Amino acid sequence: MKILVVDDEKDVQFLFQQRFRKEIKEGEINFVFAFSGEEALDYMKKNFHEAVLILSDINMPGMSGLELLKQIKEKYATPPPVVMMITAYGDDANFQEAMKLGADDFLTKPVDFNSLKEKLKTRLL
Amino acid sequence: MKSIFGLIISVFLAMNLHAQIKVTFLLKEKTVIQHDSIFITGNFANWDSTANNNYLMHATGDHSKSITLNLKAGPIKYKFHRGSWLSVEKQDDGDEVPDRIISIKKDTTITDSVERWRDQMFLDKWYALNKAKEDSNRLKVLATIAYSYAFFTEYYNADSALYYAQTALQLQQRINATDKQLSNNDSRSIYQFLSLKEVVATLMHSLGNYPKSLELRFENLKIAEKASDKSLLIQAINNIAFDYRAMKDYQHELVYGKFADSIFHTLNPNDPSYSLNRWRVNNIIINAFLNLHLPDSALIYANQLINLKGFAFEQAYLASCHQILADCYSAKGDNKTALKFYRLSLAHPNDYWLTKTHFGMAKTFQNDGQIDSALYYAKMALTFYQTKKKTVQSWGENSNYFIAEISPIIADLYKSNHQLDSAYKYLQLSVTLKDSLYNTDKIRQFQTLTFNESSRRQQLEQQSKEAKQDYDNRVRMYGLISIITGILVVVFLLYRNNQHKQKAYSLLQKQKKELETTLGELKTTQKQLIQSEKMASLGELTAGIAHEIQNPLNFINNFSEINQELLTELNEEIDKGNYVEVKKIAKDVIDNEDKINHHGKRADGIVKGMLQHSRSSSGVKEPTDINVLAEEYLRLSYHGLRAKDKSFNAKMETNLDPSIGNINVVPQDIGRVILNLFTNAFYVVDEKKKKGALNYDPTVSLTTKKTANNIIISVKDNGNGIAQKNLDKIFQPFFTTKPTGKGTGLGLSLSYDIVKAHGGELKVETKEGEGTEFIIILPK
Repeated sequence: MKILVVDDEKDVQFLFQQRFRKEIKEGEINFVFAFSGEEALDYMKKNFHEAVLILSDINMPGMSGLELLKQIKEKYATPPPVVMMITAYGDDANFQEAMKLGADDFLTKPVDFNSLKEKLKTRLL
Repeated sequence: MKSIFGLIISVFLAMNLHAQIKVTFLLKEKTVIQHDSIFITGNFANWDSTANNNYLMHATGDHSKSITLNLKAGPIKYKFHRGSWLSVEKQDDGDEVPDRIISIKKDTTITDSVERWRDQMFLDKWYALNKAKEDSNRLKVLATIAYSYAFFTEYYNADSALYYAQTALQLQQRINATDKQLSNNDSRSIYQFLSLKEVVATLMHSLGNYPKSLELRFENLKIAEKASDKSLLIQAINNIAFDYRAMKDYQHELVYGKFADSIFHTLNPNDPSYSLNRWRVNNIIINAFLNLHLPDSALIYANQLINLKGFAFEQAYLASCHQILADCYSAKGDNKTALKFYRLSLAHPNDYWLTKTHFGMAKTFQNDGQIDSALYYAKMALTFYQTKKKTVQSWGENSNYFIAEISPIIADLYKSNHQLDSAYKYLQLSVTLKDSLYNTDKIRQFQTLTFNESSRRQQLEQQSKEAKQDYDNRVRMYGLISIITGILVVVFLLYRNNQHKQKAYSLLQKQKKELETTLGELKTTQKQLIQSEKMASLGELTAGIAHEIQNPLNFINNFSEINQELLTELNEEIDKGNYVEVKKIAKDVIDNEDKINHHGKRADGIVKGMLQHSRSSSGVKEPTDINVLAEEYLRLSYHGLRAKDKSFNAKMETNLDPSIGNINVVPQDIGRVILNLFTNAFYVVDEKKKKGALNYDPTVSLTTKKTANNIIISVKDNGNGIAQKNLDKIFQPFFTTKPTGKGTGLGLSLSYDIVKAHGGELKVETKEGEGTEFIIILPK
């Protein structure tokens, strides 16, 4: 099960690896990391069929998470990857915009990993 | 008025081959002279005006006094007095007589006359005032009375001085309206005007009303600029610096000191006021540097004071020179050299510098750990300022300023001696005085005045630029057009003149009234706008801050939860005895702690930055890491805009020079400048994108660089650039190209002032259609 995490904060990689260390150890989930929207699209182009779920931050310099979401939903219609948005702004406008563009879920920072794990389990297993 | 004393100086011929000439001064008179002591003083006596028996004239028995002196051949300057400088000879209207100058090659006889003595000053002036029929004479007498009440210690009376100065000013304005003296640019009347206002300004300053004093001195600056007399201009600028000093705004004191210095450098070294102006200008700059904690720079200027020539008051010059040098060494921490110079200063007794020297010695002894000596000198200085308030006021200064400076030092000294009661008493004294001297009202008035003056200066620069540009065109056009149209216009004008005059006059009156009202409204609005600019930029920050805080919080919360889990696992592994795993987990825990700590500090920095921005500037320079400051504001402004507008996006590029290190700036102020430049840059790239530029990649880049003398911060965008017609106006207050409600038009203008106040430069380079680069150059 491969999950692509997109965030300009480099420490996110370390955080996910720690939070999901058991799942990683047991080979349940595999993470790849991209540190910008552009990098994520690049990865999708090369390894489209590997990523089943994408977790993306919204506020990133350069291509924003919403732009990434829009492009993924446009370019990769079959099979549609699951895209979950994470943002520091839990405001309604952001939420509406993400949903309009076809986001599958919406999380706010600080991320509650217990609920994230629940969500991943229902989505993936 | 005929002279009371007739004075005959006869110089007896002496056959002196060594160029020493025996000179006998003979003074003939009928009554007073018989009973009075009369002295002569001059360059041969170092202008010593205290009663010196070597220069006492002796009665001859036939209604005259005489003295015989051995003098060197050559020019000599001299005056007569009756025991001290307070009873020197003077002219009928109260002015002091100029120095008498004679050149002796061989023995000669010269006849002089003395009109009056200074100690009869007021009686004579009132007499002169009654006698003066013409307004211009009355004005002169009124001004001298005001001057005498304001500056002669023994007659100091602020109320009387103010009364006479204001009466004189009113008269001056009335004369000006009728006889057009000023409009003819008669330079002498300009000086009168200037010095009258300066008398009032000095009085206001000495009474602690610094804003009023500054306001008047700014007006004087305008008059001095018109008079185009360099020495006068330097004096006007120095007086302004002096007000800033009193308000402890040493940045502006330095700015005006440097301004005066730039004018001083165009002064002819043969100018009689050259030394005095060098002394004045350096004095301001040195004081500013010392208070800005830059003793090395201060010392460079202090060394230039040594060996200046041509001071009327040699003793005061020597006292001041050594006192200033000592202050510099004391600030550098070289207590030994400082004390050496303080003692040299003490050798030239002068009340003004003596007290400053005592205070300087107190601080030096304190730095040296000699508490008792420090207390001795500090109290001596304090006592002087407490008991001689009028004396200090007649010098144009305010005792309370010095008392507020000295008393906290005394409090400190008592604290070191564990005498807490006394320490508290002196601390309380300084707090009370500082409250009255530097209350928020005064600070606000100062800011408004400073702002108005800098707007005026920018307008002047702008006007002269425009005038220059227009000049060439005008010359060509005028020649042609005026010949063709001139005749027609004259005929036409003559015909219409009468009708128009009537109309124009009433229209002008109406417009004038409207303008006055508008001006009043504008001034109020301007004040509100400056405040709203601050609040607006804070608003831009808040959303960015929310984002920036959530990110570190995300890490802090999660890593600490992970550590909890890891520690539980650690226990289990210990029970199992699996120490390889234990070590691995322990390492993870430590790594995570590192992350928690890092992000905690990050959040802390952001909150501190926000608080700093919202607070009004402390005005205090501190060593600041420019790279960290600039990057922080880059992120904050970016996320702030993102929070407001979801569609906004731009690429950020940074190219930071890590060798910059810390430089001394006021972080809130420079932060405000950087934030403003970023906000503008993001705004223009966003505009360009929204207008549908093809293949456009909105980019804002931040570059820092170190050069030999400067630090360079550049903020570059690839927007549409600034139109040539706007380029000259962008630093003017209230100029904005943003739609109404989007910008106050104050951002760049305030930025410009802030960078200038740091002794730096704010430059702009732009190419229409390609982008703009703002460059901040700060001295290291």
